[in-house]
Amino acid sequence: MADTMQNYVELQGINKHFGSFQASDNISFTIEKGKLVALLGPSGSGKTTILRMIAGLETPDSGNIVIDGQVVNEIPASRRGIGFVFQNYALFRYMTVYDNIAMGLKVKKIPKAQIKERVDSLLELVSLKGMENRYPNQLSGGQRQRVAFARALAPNPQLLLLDEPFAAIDAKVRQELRSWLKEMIGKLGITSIFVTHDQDEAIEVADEIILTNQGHIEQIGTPEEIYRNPQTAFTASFFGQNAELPDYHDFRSFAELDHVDRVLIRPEFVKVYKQDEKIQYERTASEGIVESVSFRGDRTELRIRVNDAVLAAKRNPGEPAIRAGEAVKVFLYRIFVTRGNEVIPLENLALQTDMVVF
Amino acid sequence: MMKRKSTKKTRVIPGFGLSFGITMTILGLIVIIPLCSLVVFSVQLSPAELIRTITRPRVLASYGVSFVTAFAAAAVNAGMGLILAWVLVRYRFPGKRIMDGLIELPFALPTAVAGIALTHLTTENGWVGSLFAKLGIRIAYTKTGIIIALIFIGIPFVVRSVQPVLEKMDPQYEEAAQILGFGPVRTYWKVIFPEIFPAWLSGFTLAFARCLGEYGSVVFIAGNTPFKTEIAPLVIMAQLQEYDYASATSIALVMLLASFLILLINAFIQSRASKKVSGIV
Ligand SMILES: Nc1ncnc2c1ncn2[C@@H]1O[C@H](COP(=O)(O)OP(=O)(O)O)[C@@H](O)[C@H]1O
Ligand SMILES: [Mg+2]
Repeated sequence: MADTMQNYVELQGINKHFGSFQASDNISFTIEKGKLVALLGPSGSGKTTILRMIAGLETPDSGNIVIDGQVVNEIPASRRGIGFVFQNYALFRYMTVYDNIAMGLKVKKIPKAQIKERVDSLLELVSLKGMENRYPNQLSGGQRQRVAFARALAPNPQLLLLDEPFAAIDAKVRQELRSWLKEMIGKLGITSIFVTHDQDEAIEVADEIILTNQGHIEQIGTPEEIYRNPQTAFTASFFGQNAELPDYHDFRSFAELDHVDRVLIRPEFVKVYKQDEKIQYERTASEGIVESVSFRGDRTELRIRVNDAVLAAKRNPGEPAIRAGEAVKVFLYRIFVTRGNEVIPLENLALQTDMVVF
Repeated sequence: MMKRKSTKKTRVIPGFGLSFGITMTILGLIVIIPLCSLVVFSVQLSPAELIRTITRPRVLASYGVSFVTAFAAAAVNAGMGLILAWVLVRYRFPGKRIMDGLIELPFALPTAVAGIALTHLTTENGWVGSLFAKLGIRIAYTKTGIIIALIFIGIPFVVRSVQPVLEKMDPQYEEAAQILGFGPVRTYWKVIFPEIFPAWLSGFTLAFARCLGEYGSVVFIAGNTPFKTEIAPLVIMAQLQEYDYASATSIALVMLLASFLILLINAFIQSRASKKVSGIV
C-alpha cells in the first residue's frame, strides 16, 4: 500500500507504433511523488511520444499507464489531472496573457472573483505582474515559457509534463530558467516529467534521468549514477564528451580483454603533462602531440594525438600553458570498453598497484 | 579598412527600383487610369444633375437589390465555405480531390454559362424549380434566383481563403485546449475560429465585393424587373445602351465607392487582428 502511494506515475510495458515504425518499445518505469524526472535521449528516440501517452494525447497499442494508483488508459486528457507545457508553448495567440491562464479555470465554472485571485497569484509566481493584458507575441521567449508554465499550473494539476521546455530559449536566459524551474517545481512539490535531448540540462535539473534510445529505455537512475556507472554501451557513449580509441593497448596498463567493440575515453579521465612536469606514473604515460588548443574561458580544451588516437582533454587556467604542436605526456585514469551492449569500466592498473587515490 | 561606397542597406535580391516601377506602371494602366476616367466622365454632369442621376428611384432600388442579394449570397458563402474548407482539410474521404478541384469551377466557367444553367434548372418547368413551385416558391426571376446565382459565383473565395490557414494550423493549440478541459464548442470558438477569422473575413469581403459587381450570371436568372430584381450593374448597362455615358459612370462611381468602403472596413478589422499576433505592444 505504501508502495503505491509512493509511486505517483507508473508505465507498464507500453508499446506504440506509428504505422510499421515502433516509437515505444516495452517502456516501463515508475516515478515517485514529488520527483522531477528527465526523459533524456537523442532526437527521435521517442521521448515526446512517451510524454504524450502519459498526457492522453496519444494512445498506446498495449500496456498500462497508471497515475496515482489508477489505470488511466481510458481516461481522456482533460480528466487526468495533468498540466502540459508544449515545446513551442502553444499559447493561444488571440487571447491575452490573463485569458490564457484563466481559460483552464473558466471551463470549470469557477466563480470570477476566485479565478482572478488564482490568476493574480500565478502571475506573481512567474513574475509577470503587469503583463496580463499583453498578447503572447508581445512577450519574449522566456516570458512566454513562464505564461505556458502558469497556464499549465492554473487548474492545480498533480502531474506536470514539459516537452523540451528550454529548447526555444537563447543560451543565456536558458541557464536562468533552468534553475528557476527547478526551484519553482521544488517549491510546489508537484511531480514533474520533462523531455530534453541535452545531457547537461538533464544532469543539472533532474532528480532522476530516464535515458531513451530508439524507442526503448537504456537506463534509469540519478544523474550521478547514470553518469558514473553507465550500464549499457549506449549510455556510456551518450554521456560525456567521449573520444574513441582505435586500440587501447597503445596505452599502458589496462586489463586485457578479448572481443572488444569500442573503447571510450572521457576528457576528465585524461591527464596531460608537459615534458618537464613531474609525473606520478611515469611508466604508464604515453607520448602525444597537441593538435589543437581552444580557449574556453574557464578552461582550455586540447586535442592530442597519440599514435592513431585523438584524445580530448581539459586543462585548468592555473596550470602551465600548452601550445599546439607541443609534445606532451598523457595518462589515462579510466576507460569504458564496450562489448555488444555491455560496458566494462577499466581502471588504469597503475592506480591499483600504487594504491594511490588521486 | 575597406570603404563602403554607400550606407544603404544591401538586399539579397536587388532590383527594387525596377520591380517597383513595373508595379506602378501596371497598377496605373490597369487600375488607376480606368478608375480616374470614371470620375472624369461623371464630372461632366453638374453636381445637382449628378445627385439627381444617382438618386433616381429606380437607381436607388437597384442599389438595394444589389446590396441585399450580394450580402445574402456572401453570408451564405461565408458559412458554407467555412464548412467546405473544414471538411476538405480535416477529413479524408473518397472523391476528396475531385471535390477540391470543383471549388474553382465558378472561376473557370464563363459566368453566362452558369447563369443560363441555373435559370433552366430553377424556372417553374426546371428540375429544381418545379419541386419548389409545388410549395409555392418561385426561384428564377426573383431575388432568391439572384442570390443562388451569386452564391455559385462566390463559392471559391471563402473556401480558398480559409483552407490554407486551417491546413497550416498547429494541432498543438487544440491539444492544449483539450488538456485544459475545453469542450469541442469552446475549442472551436475560442481557439480555432480566432485563428481563421482574418482569412474568413477576407474571403467574405472578396465574395461580397465580387457579388456586388456580378453581371453575367445574374441577368438571365433575375428577370430584371425594375424595382424588384434589377441590379445596379444592369442599370449601368442600360444607360450605356442609351449612350448616356455620364449617367452610367456616375452610378458606377457609387458602386466603386461602396466596394472601396467594404474593402476598407475589412482592412481595418484585419489590421486590428494582426496587431495581436505581430508583436507590437
Ligand atoms: N504522429 C506520428 N506519426 C508518425 N510518426 C511519428 C509520429 N509521432 C512521432 N513519430 C515518430 O516517432 C519517433 C519518435 O518521435 P518522438 O517521440 O517525437 O521523438 P523525440 O521526442 O525523442 O525526438 C520519430 O521517429 C517520429 O518520426
Ligand atoms: Mg520531441
